[in-house]
Amino acid sequence: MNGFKVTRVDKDDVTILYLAGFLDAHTVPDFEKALQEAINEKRYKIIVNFKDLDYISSAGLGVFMGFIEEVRANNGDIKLTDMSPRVFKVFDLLGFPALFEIYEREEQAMEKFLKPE
Amino acid sequence: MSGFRLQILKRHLFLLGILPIGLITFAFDYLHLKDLGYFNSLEYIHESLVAVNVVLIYFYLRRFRVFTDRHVKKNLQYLVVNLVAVYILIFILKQILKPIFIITDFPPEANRFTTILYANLVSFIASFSMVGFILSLRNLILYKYKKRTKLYLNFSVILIVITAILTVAFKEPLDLSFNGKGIYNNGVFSVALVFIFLLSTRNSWITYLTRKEKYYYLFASFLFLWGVSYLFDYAYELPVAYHSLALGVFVNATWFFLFFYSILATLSFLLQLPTARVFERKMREVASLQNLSRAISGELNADKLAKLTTELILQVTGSNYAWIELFEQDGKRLKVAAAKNLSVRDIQKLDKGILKEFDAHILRDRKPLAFNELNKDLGQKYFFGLNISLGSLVGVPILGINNQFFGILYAAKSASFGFDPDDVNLLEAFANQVAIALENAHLLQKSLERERLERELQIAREVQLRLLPQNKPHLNHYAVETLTITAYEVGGDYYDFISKSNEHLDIVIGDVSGKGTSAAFYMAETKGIIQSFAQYYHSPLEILSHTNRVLSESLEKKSFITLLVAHIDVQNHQMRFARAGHCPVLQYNAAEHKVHLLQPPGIAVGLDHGAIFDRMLEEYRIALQPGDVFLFYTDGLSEAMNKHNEEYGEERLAKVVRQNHHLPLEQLKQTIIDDVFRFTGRRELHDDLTLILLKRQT
Repeated sequence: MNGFKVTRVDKDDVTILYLAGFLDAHTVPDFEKALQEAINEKRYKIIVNFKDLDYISSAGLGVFMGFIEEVRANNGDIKLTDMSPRVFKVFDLLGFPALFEIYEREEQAMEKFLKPE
Repeated sequence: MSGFRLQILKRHLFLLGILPIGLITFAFDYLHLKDLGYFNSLEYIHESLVAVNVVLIYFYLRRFRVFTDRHVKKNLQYLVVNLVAVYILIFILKQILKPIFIITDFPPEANRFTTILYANLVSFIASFSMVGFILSLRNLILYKYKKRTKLYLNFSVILIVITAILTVAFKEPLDLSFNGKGIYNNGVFSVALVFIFLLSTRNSWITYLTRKEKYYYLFASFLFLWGVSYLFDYAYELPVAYHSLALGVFVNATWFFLFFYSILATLSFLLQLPTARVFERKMREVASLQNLSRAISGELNADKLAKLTTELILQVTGSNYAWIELFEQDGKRLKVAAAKNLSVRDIQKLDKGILKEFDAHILRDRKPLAFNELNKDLGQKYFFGLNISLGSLVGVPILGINNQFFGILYAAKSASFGFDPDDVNLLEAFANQVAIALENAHLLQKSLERERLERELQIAREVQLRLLPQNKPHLNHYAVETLTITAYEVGGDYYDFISKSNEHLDIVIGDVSGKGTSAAFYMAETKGIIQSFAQYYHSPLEILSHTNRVLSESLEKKSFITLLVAHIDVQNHQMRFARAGHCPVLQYNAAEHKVHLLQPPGIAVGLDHGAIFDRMLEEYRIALQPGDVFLFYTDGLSEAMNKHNEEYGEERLAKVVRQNHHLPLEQLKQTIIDDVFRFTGRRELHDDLTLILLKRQT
């Protein structure tokens, strides 16, 4: 009914995934696949850009939990950016800001990857 | 037994009519009562009696089993027996009675007793024999009923009766000469012959004979035709005409019928011989395809079906070898599913991909590939290593409806030029049947799978409903209402009341991420853990902290649970609650006439094993004033969506609560849910919805 699309862009050693549409239990496998592919290529610096994402369900949030351990174990991270208020509300309610770095803009996350303190 | 005898007796009662009438007509001849010139009424009586006798004989004979049998071969036999018997009888009679007819005029005359006796006996034989012929021919004609058959039959009979009357009246021979008065009876007779001829074309039974039978019958029909040609002249012409002109007309007409039928049948045999082989093959093809589709409807095992198909290929196409290769589950490799006349070693070689190039060719073109002349080069290229010697080979793709590739069907012959286009077409038909069967099998598998999931879902739903409290708690000064609406797919909503005494109540509400069976089981686990921790710990913070430690160990990485635990102290009108990633508590403050969303920090259970979870979690304390209403809910309520993908949201919820806080709690609940459904525009949800209302009575 509602489409979901994930587009991948690699900038140096950072991989950016642009999400668009509806991320729910039915479309989660597409997103999982994209994340898994990046990780299989040993690209652990990942930015997920939510700019065009309309909706995210709890199953969609679970994806991040599924990968974060492995990514961090390899000195990488998944940083989240450009969330609409509606999407951020879901993350916030569940307490994700305590576990993930969430930025307003993609460049901020990029900078963080390039110049870690 | 006696009934059966009586029936036979009844049948033979006809003879009581037939024999005396025969004797009476003999008396007419013997006493020369009919030769008294024109318009002799006695003669008409004579002719009528003969005609009546023919009719009686017809009714007498048609009950006999030999004439009711529709079996083609039996009827052909009876025709031959009938003909041969007539020749023998007439021959013997001729030898004994030595008849001499006077043929100066028409009808012929007879003076001697022996000749008169001869004529009468022959006429009697003719009546029986000809009626017999008609009955046998009728059975052959009706082998395949066509709509005009009855009509032609009726026309023929009527015209022959008219011919008989005219012939009796004018005493002209039926020589088709049209001289003088002969024009009347011969004219009508000619028309009758046209219909008889049309009836004689009804020999479709010939088509369905085997090739061998056609050869055999062609030879037999030549002899039969020869016998029929001379029958009339040899046996009937003079004696029957002398005895009775009416009978003469009948015998003449029947003879033409027999003659036409024999000659047309002979022609049909002759004409169908060249196509007999093709026809036979087509029949076999049809039969084999029928066999196959029958097998398919009953047999959904791909291997058995493949085996049957290879057998049929050998039978119908005369191939020496046949085998079917089907893709394995992974869809990558072809494997021989059934083979005919191939050795185990050859099958192993095929499995190893000896025909890889050939396969690839068919896979690419999706069309049959036929080699009718496998020369050495091709043999070296494709079949190197196979023990069988191949002269010609056809491979046909087995394609599903969506062009899905199931495998390849092969047929091979030792001889070159073994397969014509017809063979290839037939093999394609076989391949299609196999594809249909495989498709059916897949569909069945799918529907079984769906059924299994459906059943699982049903179980999950039952588990979920049983986990929820069956009764509302009763508290002094407080009212509690609950509402659960489950979505089609089981969501993970969960709530519970834990009451240690009348003075205290724990309200637990949560949502397990994920759906279906796994959600239901996590829910059960959560309920158990919380129930037991609630016995030891009194603060919601402690309960949640410990629950997280236990649950985060057992939860899948991707799963988490939002939980909210509220502890109500009835005596002091105090509430403490902590929120682990769950929806906030909505408070209607009666004194301020305002709605507040109470959302202390806290992350969902399962996201972290302990440290961060505990650091984030905060407990919130609030006093409960008279008239205050508290709403605990899951995101199924706040995120209920309308068709524009807008969420119901807390603001709408706050508004409806503020406007309706004064209603009895039960009505307030109904008002809220009505408002939600008004917003979504339909009464079904994509997620579970849970709502708990708590109100301190005024």
